[in-house]
Formats: sequence, structure tokens, C-alpha cells
Amino acid sequence: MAYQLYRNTTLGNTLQETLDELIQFGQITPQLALKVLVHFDRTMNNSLAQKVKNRLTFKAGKLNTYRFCDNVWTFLLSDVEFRDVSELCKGETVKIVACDGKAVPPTKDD
Amino acid sequence: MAANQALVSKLYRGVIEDVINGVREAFLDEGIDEAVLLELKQNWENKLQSSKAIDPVTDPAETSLQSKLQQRSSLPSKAGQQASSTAPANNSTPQQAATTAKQPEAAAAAQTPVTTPNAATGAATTAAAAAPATTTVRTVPVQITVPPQAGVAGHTAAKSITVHVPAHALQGGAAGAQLQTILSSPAVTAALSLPVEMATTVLQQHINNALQSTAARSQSRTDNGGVTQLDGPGDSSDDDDDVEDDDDDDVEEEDDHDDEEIDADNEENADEEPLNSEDDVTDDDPSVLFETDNVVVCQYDKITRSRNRWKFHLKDGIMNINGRDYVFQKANGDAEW
Repeated sequence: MAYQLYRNTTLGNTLQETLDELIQFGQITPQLALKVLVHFDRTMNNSLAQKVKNRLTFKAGKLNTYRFCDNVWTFLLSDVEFRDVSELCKGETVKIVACDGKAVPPTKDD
Repeated sequence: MAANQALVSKLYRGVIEDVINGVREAFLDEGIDEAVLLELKQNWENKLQSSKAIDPVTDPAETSLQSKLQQRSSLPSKAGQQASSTAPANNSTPQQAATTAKQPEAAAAAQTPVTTPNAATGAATTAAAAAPATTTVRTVPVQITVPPQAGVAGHTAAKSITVHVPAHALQGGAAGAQLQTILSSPAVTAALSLPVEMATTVLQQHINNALQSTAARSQSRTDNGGVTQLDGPGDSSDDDDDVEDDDDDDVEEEDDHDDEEIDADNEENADEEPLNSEDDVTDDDPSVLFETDNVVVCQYDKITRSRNRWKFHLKDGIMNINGRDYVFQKANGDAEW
């Protein structure tokens, strides 16, 4: 079992929308959709750990809020600059949601 | 981050492939057809592309889909133009609404009107558009052309009926809609099948009657002809009770006192609310503050703080900044609280 963290990404949201549409049309069952999402979680976590190799740094003008609850950090930063070697991108307000990278994700009984 | 974009696309394709292959077995276990799985994949990829978070990857299947989408988008624009031209003279029957809702059918329906109301409205629109838009002219001749219809005896050629319609009936949305409802009534439909002269007179009388009755109705509403309504929206005001009613002074005075007390309480509350509302010092509602499109979803290795300086050591993250997607293996950051 892996973090369900990545369901709220472009990839994850589009998958959930597609699954919801199929459920609405009655083409798949909700249980099957759940299985797909669980598989997606596993695949996502593995891919990010193994296939991605780049590093970047960022600097924020201000940390507006920080929250640590249930071992999940949530930050709100403003005026942030992300740097990837030579390239740069900026955001006015950025929200960071981070789960514990070292902990073993909670196992669930299916 | 252009190089990153290619990386992101490749990563996403890889994830999609992995997921689809992984759940294929689950789909088969549930007895669900492979076609549904393919549909899942197609829809997923389409949504990804339309989200514009990554660069689109050309694929033979996807390009054909894109061209189909373009065709669809051009067709509604044509239907939309025709629909907008007929909108001022639009028939309010459910059939019309249903056909405009279904775009391919709307194009066909607009082009080949079959039933009489559609024909009348279509022709009336062209006549109305041609009519001079002067406000000084009281009546405007409107030519209604009824195309030939099969099954109606003695009606082999298109006939045009000219009726005189007050100018205001052609202008404005509500008046125009009125004209259309008048023209689409069953009496009119029957009249259209009569010979030209009779149809003209019948239609003319019908329009005149209908417009006069609606004018009379609207007038009666404004002038309070008939039965006058004193309460509800027509109520003058509560404060006038003191001046108008002289009878039952005792009862009146008690009621007045109660009213005054209630009013006094309301005024005090009104004063207190502004006072209390200044006690709260938060800048923004936190729930609103947390709503932002730039999201980074990741895992943390280490989060440290020294006084008000925070340092972030993050890993395995996906970012959506200004609508575009990025990924990272590791990220380090600094911020001041």
C-alpha cells in the first residue's frame, strides 16, 4: 500500500474523473474503480522513486502558514521561485503538501 | 523547465501504461470488457491533454480524435449562428429546444424546417430582419412566407401573407417573443392553410387582438385597473399607520410601543455588530487562503526551523505551477515565516 497523496495531481484527478464517468454510465463498479486507484497509488509512488532523477531548489519570499497534523506537513508560501539547474519558474502562492518520506505507509486491509 | 516537460510527459505515459496493464487483470476478473479498459485509457489521456498541464504527445488515435473534436466545434458554431439569428423569433415549443440542444440535429432542423410553425418563424425572421427599424413607423408590414407542404390540399406553391404588425412588436426580446407565440398558436397554423386573402385577414385580426389584449393586460397591471391590491408589493409602508388610523387609540398605542421597543433593540444590535466585528484580526479566512492552484504534492525528508527561518528537504514530488506540471526527485527550499 502506498500513499494516496498523488491522487490530487493532474494525473490523479483526471483518472478519478474518468473513473467517475465510467461508474455513472454503469460500465464499471465502484469497487473496480477503487482497485484502479490503489494500483495508481502504487505505480505513482514507484515511478517517482525510480524514474525521476532531477533535483530542484526553491526560495520563498514568505512562509504564510504551516501545519503539521497526522504526520502531514502543509505549507502555504508566497512569492516562490523554483530553480532547476538553469531554468526558473515562479508562483505567487504555492501550497505544499508533504507526507513523511521515511515512514512506512499505513497498510490497509483490502 | 522545458526539458522537465518532456520528462513529465514521458513519466505520465509510463504511469498510464503501467496502471492500465496492471488493472487489466482486475477488469477481467470482474468480467468487464477490454473495450471499457480502452475507453478508460482514452478518456484519461484526453483529459490529460485538455488540461494542458503537459505537452501533448501526438498519436494516430489521438490526432483523429482531435480532428473529430474540431469538426464538432465547427458544426456547433454554424448551428449557433443560425440559432442566434432565429433566437429573436424563436419558437418556444419543446421540440425547438430539444433540437437546439442536440447540435448535429439542430443544424439539420434549422436548414430544413418541416412543420408549419418552424416555417412561419423562419420566414418571419427574414421578413422582420428586412423590415425598417424605425421607431416612428407605427406598423410594419411583415411578410410571412409559407413554403409548399405535401399533404395540404391546394397548397402547391409557396404563398406569402402580409400582415401589419406594430413596430414595437418586432423590437425587443419580450415583444418579439410575444409575436412568436401569437404566430405559433394553433389558430394561426390553421389560418396558414387557408387561401391567401382569407389567411391574411384572419392573421391580421388575430395579431391585432392578441397584441391589444396583451397591451391592455400590461396596462391594467400598471394602472391597477380592475381589482386594486393594497398589500404585498403594493403596500405603501408600515410607518404610515400612525398617521392614517385614528380609531382604536389604545390598541394602536400598545402596538406602537411594542414596535418602538423592537426597533430600539434592532438599532442597538446594529450598533453592536460593527463594534464586535472589529475584534477579529485575521487577514483572511484560512480555508480561502489555502485555496490555490499552485500545489506541490510530495514527501518530506526533513523539515527544520531556526527561529523563523524554515528549511525544507523534500523528495518525490509533483508540482502544478501556473497550470503546468513538473516533477522532482529532490527539492530543497528556504522560507521565512
